[in-house]
Amino acid sequence: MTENLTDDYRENFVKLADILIPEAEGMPSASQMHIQNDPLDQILKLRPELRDDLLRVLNLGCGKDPNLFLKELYESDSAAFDSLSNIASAAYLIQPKVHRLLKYSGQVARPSHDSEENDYFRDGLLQPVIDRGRRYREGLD
Amino acid sequence: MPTFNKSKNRAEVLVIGAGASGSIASRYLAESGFKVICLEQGDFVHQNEYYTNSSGWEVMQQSRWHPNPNIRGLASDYPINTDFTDVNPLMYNAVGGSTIIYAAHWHRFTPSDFCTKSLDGVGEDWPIKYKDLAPFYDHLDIDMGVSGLAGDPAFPPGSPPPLPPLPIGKVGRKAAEGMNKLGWHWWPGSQAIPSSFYRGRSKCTRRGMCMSGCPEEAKATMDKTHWPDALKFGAQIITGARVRKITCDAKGLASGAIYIDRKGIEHHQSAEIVLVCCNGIGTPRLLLNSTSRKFPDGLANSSGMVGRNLMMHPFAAVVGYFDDNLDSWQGPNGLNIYSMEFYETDQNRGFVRGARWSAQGTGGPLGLRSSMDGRPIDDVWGKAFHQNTRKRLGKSIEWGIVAEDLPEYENKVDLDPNLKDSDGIPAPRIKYRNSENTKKLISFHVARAKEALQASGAYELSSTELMTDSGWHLLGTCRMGNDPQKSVVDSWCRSHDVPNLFIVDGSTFVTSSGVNPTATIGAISLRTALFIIENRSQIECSM
Ligand SMILES: Cc1cc2nc3c(=O)[nH]c(=O)nc-3n(C[C@H](O)[C@H](O)[C@H](O)COP(=O)(O)OP(=O)(O)OC[C@H]3O[C@@H](n4cnc5c(N)ncnc54)[C@H](O)[C@@H]3O)c2cc1C
Ligand code: SF4
Repeated sequence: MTENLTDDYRENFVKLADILIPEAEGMPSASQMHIQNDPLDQILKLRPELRDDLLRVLNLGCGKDPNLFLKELYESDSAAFDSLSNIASAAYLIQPKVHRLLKYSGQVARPSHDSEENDYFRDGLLQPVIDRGRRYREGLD
Repeated sequence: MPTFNKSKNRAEVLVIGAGASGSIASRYLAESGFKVICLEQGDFVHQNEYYTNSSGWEVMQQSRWHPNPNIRGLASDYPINTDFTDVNPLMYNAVGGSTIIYAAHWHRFTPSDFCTKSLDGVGEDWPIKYKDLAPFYDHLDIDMGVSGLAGDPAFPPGSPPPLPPLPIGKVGRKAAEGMNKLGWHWWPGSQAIPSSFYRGRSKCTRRGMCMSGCPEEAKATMDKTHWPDALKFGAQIITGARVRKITCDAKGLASGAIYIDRKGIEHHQSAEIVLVCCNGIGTPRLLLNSTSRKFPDGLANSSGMVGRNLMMHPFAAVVGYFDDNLDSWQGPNGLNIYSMEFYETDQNRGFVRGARWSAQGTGGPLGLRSSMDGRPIDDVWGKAFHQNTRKRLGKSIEWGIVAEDLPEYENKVDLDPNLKDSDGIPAPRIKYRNSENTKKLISFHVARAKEALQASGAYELSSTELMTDSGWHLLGTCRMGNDPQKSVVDSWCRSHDVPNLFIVDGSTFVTSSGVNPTATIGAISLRTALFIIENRSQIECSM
């Protein structure tokens, strides 16, 4: 249930998220990926149990300097910090555009090809192990 | 107060728990004509409950599909007090048990694993040997559709697995190159995951979601490998049935079990023989909850060993970062190649026993983040967020180290005085600390795994000496032995105290070995099922 996440909450969320995930290293920031909109709703739908912690963080941080507030939260309330950072990173990293930028195909089906099978025999990679011979220790059989 | 229904439908064998061990026993007992009834607190998992969508999958691995039942908190789960443990116990409660989320690495013990006391002066010797289990290992390889390569010099020769190994991938090749430079052992992975279509199961498509349930119906889980046949042979399974207590008659023979259904109604299921298969935590919990005037300290516990000697295979990991793309999110999870180089004891190392290593990819982008917990904020967030993601995703290899922990009397499962499950049944409490031997063993192995990754060309390394959420293997809490004062069951897994009570799960392990245990759990279960079949007339039963 995300209907009472007001625009103000969403704005405060993305201000904090931008500190955690800024524009850098050729990657867009959290706000450039609009994570405060659909992605946030998507994550809270999957993990509704994080919602209370998120609201708590946003209420606590209201009107405070976001940088200082995050540092303070990290020291004093790690559970709340983890909820916020988990939501932010999940809302960012689930997006297909981010996958493309990271060259991540996602967990797609990629059945193996015949050419991949037994390749260690074809190029002799496994041969030294075979050549060294038996290495298990006898029991009392 | 719940009503108490007395069942007229008496079982010849009552199996409690439909995980790896219970499913195998149910299937073979039913096939030979036994009237089998299985009570399982979980349900069948339907194929549409598994995630195929990669984004949702990673998010749900942190909640609904988390391996820690305390975090998952489903109706089928029970809480566990983990305030006094270095390692959290992990499991899944459903038909198929923990195999629903296991990684399906399929390994036999080595011969030395059965006699650590004689060889190394630690632990205890098992009352059985490698050769006693060898035919059952062979049989289960076929049931499960194991993919692997015969001829590994680290194991005794045996029948080849029914399917060729899965490809070792870029991750496996890179890790193997390093091992070859050092002259160290490695071998292609052995998994209960089919490399081609097998008995109605698909070929693995390498999605890498194995540890939150296989969406492709490829991975061998007991709901797919054993239950269809068990049901065909007439076994009955009652799901959503949480067993509170095993009952006994005046002679001290097991007479059945009281279970609570999802509506809170209590039932008594009567039985001639009872087989407990609730895993290394659930089994001692149930036995300790099964007190009576005759058994005030819990059932089958005259030795005081029920719940003692908990072993969980503490797990360490070393990650190497590479410049090349290794597709390291590709599945299956956890085992492209393995190494037994430092498996056997070498007294010069300052500790005894060893560990199996598995080289594996490091998963998707969100999962990678979990290893950053506890680091300084600026190392993880801000610019570092992008740097870390780019550095690891697709380009890192983990050597996972399954450390053999030895039986320690003080490492135990008992009943928590306060904590109860949703049915009001006392919950288990875990006390588990790593011994000095284990700590030295892990430090040594972590140092060697770093060398291995450097030899493979890693430009940077990170390591975790103990992963807290790594109690995948729950072993030792109702150990097998010939001496009734030092063990709970005999070499056929029959209780020393209660002759028609058998325990066949991982709790019967005398020592833990350094390999994943389910092949051995399954072999023990099958061996005991055949014992019951062959000796039925000699097993005294409650009338
Ligand atoms: C994440 C993960 C990864 C793993 N990977 C591997 C691997 O790669 N290779 C390997 O060999 N092993 C692996 N394991 C371990 C493997 O899953 C277990 O060894 C195996 O499933 C244990 O079989 P079992 O029969 O002892 O118990 P389980 O399979 O755990 O089954 C016990 C069953 O008993 C039921 N039960 C418990 N108490 C009650 C009660 N009171 N009433 C009714 N029912 C009850 C439970 O609901 C459960 O279904 C992994 C485990 C996990 C959690
Ligand atoms: S990698 Fe293979 S076994 Fe694992 S989830 Fe994918 S198809 Fe199933």
